[in-house]
Amino acid sequence: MTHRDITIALIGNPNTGKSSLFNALCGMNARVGNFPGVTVEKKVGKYDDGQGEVTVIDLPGTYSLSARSADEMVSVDVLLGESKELSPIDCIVVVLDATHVERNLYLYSQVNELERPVMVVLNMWDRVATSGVSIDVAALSAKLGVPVVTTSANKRVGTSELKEAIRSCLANATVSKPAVLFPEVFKNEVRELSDWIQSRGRSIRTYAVERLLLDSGGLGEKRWASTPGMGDLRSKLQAARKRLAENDCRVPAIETRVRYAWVQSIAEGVILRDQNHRVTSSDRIDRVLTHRWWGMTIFACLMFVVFQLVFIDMGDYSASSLIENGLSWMASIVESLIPPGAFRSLVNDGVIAGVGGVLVFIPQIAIFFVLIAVLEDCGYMARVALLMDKWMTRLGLNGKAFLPLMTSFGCAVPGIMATRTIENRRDRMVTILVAPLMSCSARLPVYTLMITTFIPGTAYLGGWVTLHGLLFLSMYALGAVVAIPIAWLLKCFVFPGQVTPFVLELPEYSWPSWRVVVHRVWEQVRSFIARAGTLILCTSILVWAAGYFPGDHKNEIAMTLDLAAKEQATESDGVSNAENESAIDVLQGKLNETKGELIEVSYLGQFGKVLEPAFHAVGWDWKIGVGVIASFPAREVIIATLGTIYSLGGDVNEESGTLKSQLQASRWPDGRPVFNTVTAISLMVFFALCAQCAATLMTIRHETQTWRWPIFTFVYMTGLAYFAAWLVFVVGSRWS
Amino acid sequence: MLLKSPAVGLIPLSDLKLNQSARVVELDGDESCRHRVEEMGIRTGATIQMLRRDAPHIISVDGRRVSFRFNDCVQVWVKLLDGYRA
Repeated sequence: MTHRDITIALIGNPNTGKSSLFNALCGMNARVGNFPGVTVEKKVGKYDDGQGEVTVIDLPGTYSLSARSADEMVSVDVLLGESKELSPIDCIVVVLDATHVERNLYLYSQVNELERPVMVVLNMWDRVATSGVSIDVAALSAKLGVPVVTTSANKRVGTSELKEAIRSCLANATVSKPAVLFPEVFKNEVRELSDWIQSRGRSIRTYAVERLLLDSGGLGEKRWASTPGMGDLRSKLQAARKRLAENDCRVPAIETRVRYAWVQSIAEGVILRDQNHRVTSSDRIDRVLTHRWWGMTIFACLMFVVFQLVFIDMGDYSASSLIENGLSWMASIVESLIPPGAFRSLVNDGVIAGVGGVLVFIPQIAIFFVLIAVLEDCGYMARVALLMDKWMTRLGLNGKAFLPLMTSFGCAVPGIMATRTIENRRDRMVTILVAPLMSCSARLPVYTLMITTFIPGTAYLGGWVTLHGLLFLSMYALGAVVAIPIAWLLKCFVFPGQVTPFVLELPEYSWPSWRVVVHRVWEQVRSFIARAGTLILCTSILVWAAGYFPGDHKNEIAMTLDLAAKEQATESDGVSNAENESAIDVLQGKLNETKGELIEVSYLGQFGKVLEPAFHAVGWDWKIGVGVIASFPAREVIIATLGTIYSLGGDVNEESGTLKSQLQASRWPDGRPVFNTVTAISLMVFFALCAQCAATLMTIRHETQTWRWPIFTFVYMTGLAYFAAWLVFVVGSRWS
Repeated sequence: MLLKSPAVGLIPLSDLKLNQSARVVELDGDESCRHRVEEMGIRTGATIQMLRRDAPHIISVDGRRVSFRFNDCVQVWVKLLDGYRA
């Protein structure tokens, strides 16, 4: 037995249990990333079968191996071994749903033409018996001319047979022989075109030439037409397509015609199907779950439960507050180990406060994705897309955008990650770009502070409706309402393109596989932590440095040491000493004042003063402006920053009474109060619409694989937020 | 533009009543949209049964459950199958 490391690729339609199969082969040993430049997920796993290491590439589920968009092109490139990232594929494993083999053979007929070693897996074999289908596996294998293996991946049945079959497929080097599908006219055009391309000194595979002819205006055509010396390819293609149309061989219609005819010839006598329509248990469930009224009611209840579970406030026992407590414990350890100075401040105020503020979201993200993965894996999410489609089309989006947008009301980061289910690139990009407009939980502290401090608690209708409640609601609605014209504008001007039909396969309901669920959640959490540890860390340190330098921190350090000594003295005495305590209070006050002065002279403060005219236009003073700038890593940071600037020390929250009174007492140089109702609303509106969240911007960067879209998002949202804040201020000032 | 007059006896797919069965005879409309719809299995010769009347509809296509809303870029013409509750 010779040792040999090999690479295989899994390809198949959506809902064929490909993820389960990948899991059954590789276990938790998998890495999820992105292919460069596209939004396609790259899933690579490994296993050892005793004869060497097998690298498994799980390609995204697809109905067709065409080359229309960049995302589709990835699969073609990987299978043809033209991807620079991955080693060439030794064997292509086509995964078919055993209960719908005919349907899945369409994709197989395309893979078959790549002239690579191919084998077939009939997955979900356990369902065949109950679905009224009988398949002669040996006859199918003989007709296709490639090995066929049956598996039930969700039950881990047939995995070892599959592993053996992959090795023997390689040993026999069963290169698939493309069936003669296309008529002679088409093949002549293909031959002529590839000769012409070769005459220009380029080599091209037959399948790629076929795709050039079939995918009119697709990415393959664009890519080849821009290759040097290929300038006249387009006119050549158009002429060829015209000739084909004249010979009753119109593209692309010819493709589906010949492939389906071939599928039928394969299925004949091999696959016997009970012709009568069967009412399955899935149909019975769907009669309720997709019912016009019941469906919506059940969905609303389910979402209510999901959100209760995600945002439930379990007080001190919730995982979030455990993380928070852990962070403050770490901060106190740092204080006892590192003497006061720039380094301690960097670790505590920069790293722990910045990265920690992001890590606090992990429990919410994990719980949310567990629930979503369960609903997804049992087949319910496809029904949600169907139910919500009617409403989402009014926003110019389709049903699949609902879940990501709803998630974004909790946090845009998982929301943007959830857009992976939208396969239409245009819809997906628009959803990603409007998702941060949804009012996430990080805005809540800002709303709470502003509303409870500056808005009178007027109540209407006998106390049932309060002004506070109405304002909270309007702030939450604002983002969603603004998203409608934004989505429309993005669709018209940024992502122009034709309307595409909404077609969605509804998988049969099944019990979720905990392995798939665990795997999916772990992947999401892992990539989130990785981002928090890299780019968010850098951003936090930069903002910290801008707020720390170039001030002289000597006095601050001396005071901190003095304060620590006094506190320790009080503690060791064991009895509270009134005199000592008041001394501590005085010292704390002075320390905070010094900190405020240091921020004022810092680069951040200087920057704020330079931008003061811009802040004046929306009714803010430089202090608020600095708070807004410093909250770039995360919105809620503004409260800590305002606390520092208003000399309260960094350790305040939105309920802090002193911060409220400080804000109320704050005055312009001419004695007018800085904050009034209008300023407070303009600040809230700014935060409702701005993109002050490094985590969201990093996620957009990660999902779109370019810096263009996070920068675009930041610019458009900041512009929008500033304009809206200005509008509130101008209109509000005239009115009041 | 899509509503070119169909052959006699053909009706648009979305006009099927609940539980009615039909066979796809012809697809009309934008070429690339049509290609996508066909790749999803809604192609000439496919047997279809309407399972949800409200848009987006749910149909059974050769035994699979598919939900669709064609956005006016594709028109699917079908012929009712005999022996089914019309």
